[in-house]
Amino acid sequence: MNASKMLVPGLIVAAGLALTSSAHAERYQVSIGGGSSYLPSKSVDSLTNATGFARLDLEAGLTILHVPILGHTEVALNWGSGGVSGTSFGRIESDLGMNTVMLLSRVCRPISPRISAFGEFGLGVQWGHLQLDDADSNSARSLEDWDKSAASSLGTGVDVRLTNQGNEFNLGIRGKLAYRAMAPLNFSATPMSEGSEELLLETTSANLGSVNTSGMLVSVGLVGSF
Amino acid sequence: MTNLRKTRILRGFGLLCFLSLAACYGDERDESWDRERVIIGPVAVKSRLAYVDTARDRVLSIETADGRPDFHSYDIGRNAIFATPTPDRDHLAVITRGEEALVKGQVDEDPKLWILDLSEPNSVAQSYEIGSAFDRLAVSSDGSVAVAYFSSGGFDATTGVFRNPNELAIVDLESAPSDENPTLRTVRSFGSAPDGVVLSPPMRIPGAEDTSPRVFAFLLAENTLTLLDATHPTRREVTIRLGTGSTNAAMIRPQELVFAPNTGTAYVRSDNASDVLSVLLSAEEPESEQDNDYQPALAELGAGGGPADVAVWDDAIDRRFVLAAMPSSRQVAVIDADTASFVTVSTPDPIDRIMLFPNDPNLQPRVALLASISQGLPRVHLLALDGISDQLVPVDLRTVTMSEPVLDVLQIPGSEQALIVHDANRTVLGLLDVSLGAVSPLEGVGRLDSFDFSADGSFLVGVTNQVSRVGILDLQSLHPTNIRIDDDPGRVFALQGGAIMVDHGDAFGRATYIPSIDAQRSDARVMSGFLLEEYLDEDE
Repeated sequence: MNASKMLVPGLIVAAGLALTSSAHAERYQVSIGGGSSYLPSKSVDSLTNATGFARLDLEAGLTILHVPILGHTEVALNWGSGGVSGTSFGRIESDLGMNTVMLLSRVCRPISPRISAFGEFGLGVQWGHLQLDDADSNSARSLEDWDKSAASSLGTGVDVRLTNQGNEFNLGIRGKLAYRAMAPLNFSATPMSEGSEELLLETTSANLGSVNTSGMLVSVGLVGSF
Repeated sequence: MTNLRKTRILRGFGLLCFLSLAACYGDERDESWDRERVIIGPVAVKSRLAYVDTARDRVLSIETADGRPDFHSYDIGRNAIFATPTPDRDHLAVITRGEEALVKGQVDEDPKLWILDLSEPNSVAQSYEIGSAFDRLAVSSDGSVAVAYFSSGGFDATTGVFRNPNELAIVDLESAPSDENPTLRTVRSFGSAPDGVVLSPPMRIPGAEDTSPRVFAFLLAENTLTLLDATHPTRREVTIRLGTGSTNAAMIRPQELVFAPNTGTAYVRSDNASDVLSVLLSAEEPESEQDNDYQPALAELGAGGGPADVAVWDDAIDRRFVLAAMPSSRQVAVIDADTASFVTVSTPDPIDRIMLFPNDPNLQPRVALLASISQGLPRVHLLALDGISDQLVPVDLRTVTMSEPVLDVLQIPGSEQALIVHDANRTVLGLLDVSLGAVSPLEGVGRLDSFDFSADGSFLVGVTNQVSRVGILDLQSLHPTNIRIDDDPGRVFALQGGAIMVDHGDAFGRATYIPSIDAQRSDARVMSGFLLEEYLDEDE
């Protein structure tokens, strides 16, 4: 696989979506960015030949503690979203959408007046939506299912401050590498509802198995702190 | 912070980034995920419905015997091309083409025959390497022998250079696979290739030293009938030339065989032949190990009318009779198979379909239904078989007249009824009670696209593709009922044990299970996605 194949669109997404407001760099942070999540698990092969997917991240954080030597610690609420699609056996079209919400705990240490490194750990939840369609048949019922599972993240990164306006709004760039360990998402072959109010027969849906979405995350974003 | 320390931190961070990015590299997914996927089936195997998935290399079986559907999966080889139940419907036989490994994800595998015991959920399929990617299979009625062969279009040009259409694989299903099992043979040919293979029931050779019953393979080809002792597959085959050998004569194509296993006799009906050919296997001292201990004695039975259909039965004192329809002379011939003597019965129409009633193998047939399908005439005839060969007993031939042409006749298992099809779309049907000679008309809302009879012949279940209902007809009272289902049906099956399964033709697997003929809609259950069971865990 070619990692750059996924990294480049991730960076483009990050740049394209980069919007923020800014203020002083001490108390609050908001960020928006994008990146690539990699999917090394074989379980994803049944859905797509892609080995990763582009994702969007939104985050809001709060500095909670200043530590004299270490720097400061933050907590942040992060929402990320992305998905993969593909075709298997020439006819089974798959679409897997994934969302995560994580509570991140971050320790930041200044390296220079404009650069600080950080390490972070997060816990949260991911939920996924899987849809399967038969490309060769109009009459086949599409299948879909939702599932959610626990998610955790361990990562590191750097913040580069672009502006330095004291207590006013400051803008920076954040690069981050993380490994996300996710409990597998388990899906059933539930027929897609057509919204009909007709009384339907009891349905037993087969177990499709599980998808492991754990893997590395590379992201870049804009950070506003105030 | 010193510059040296900053540099170390940045180097450490850079190394971490590099290692993390390196961890992002993964394997390309296997080519196997791009294979063509075809679902063979469903195939009814007693109380089970079986599907063969050619891309996931497995057989999925739905068991209905316990009053609820139960799923089991069986692994088979790569690229299944043919599946058929064994005649006793205890097992499912599947031929896989195998694979030549060209890229990662493919495996080198030879063509194989797989025998699956679907009654054992945890059983492992028995496989036999059959040498060539045959696409047809004949299995003997006792399940002891199978013969794999090529159909006329069965050669995949992407898998090889040469094809030998006269090659066979003879498999002893009662023995484990070995170097000698299966036996690969190329049968003698005079320029033709087999159109089909028919295996006899176990037959004894009268007078032979080896009195054990054995299975014979009859290979049907243009102007040729080849006979092979499938129980001793290394012995020489016997080739019987049909026809006169004249270049102007029409090709003789053997079409149908019926057997008299107790006397070691087969009766062959052929297109463009004037008579039924009797092949009597009589004992002969073999000259070598490869020689046969029998020789076929040929006799032509009939009155030179060109038989269009044949049927056999044994009378109360075990005399075997052959009934041959000869449309060109508007006669049927009743042939005493032991003496070759015959009587003919004139019929008002050119008969080309014969059915014997009752068709229970444990009961002696009493009536033959005679129909002229090719002419599409609005009548059938019922010929009483009691004393039919006795010149002193008058022939009892009754005509049953109908208002619509007869385009097909279907025998209802275990009963004295036949389903009459009156139009090409199977919308107008009739139920003929052979014992009474009465016909009850039945009308459908649309084309009867799929139907099945319950195992005891008491019910007919049928579906029309665009109508989301299953029709059930009580064949005793002719009372029709139906059950509304959620999706348009594809095929319907009345399984042993009484359950009805409706397959919806969905590549993901979608079927409606109705536990019994008497069930209500609320008892039915839809099974969704069973062909993708554990699909996401395939590579784990």
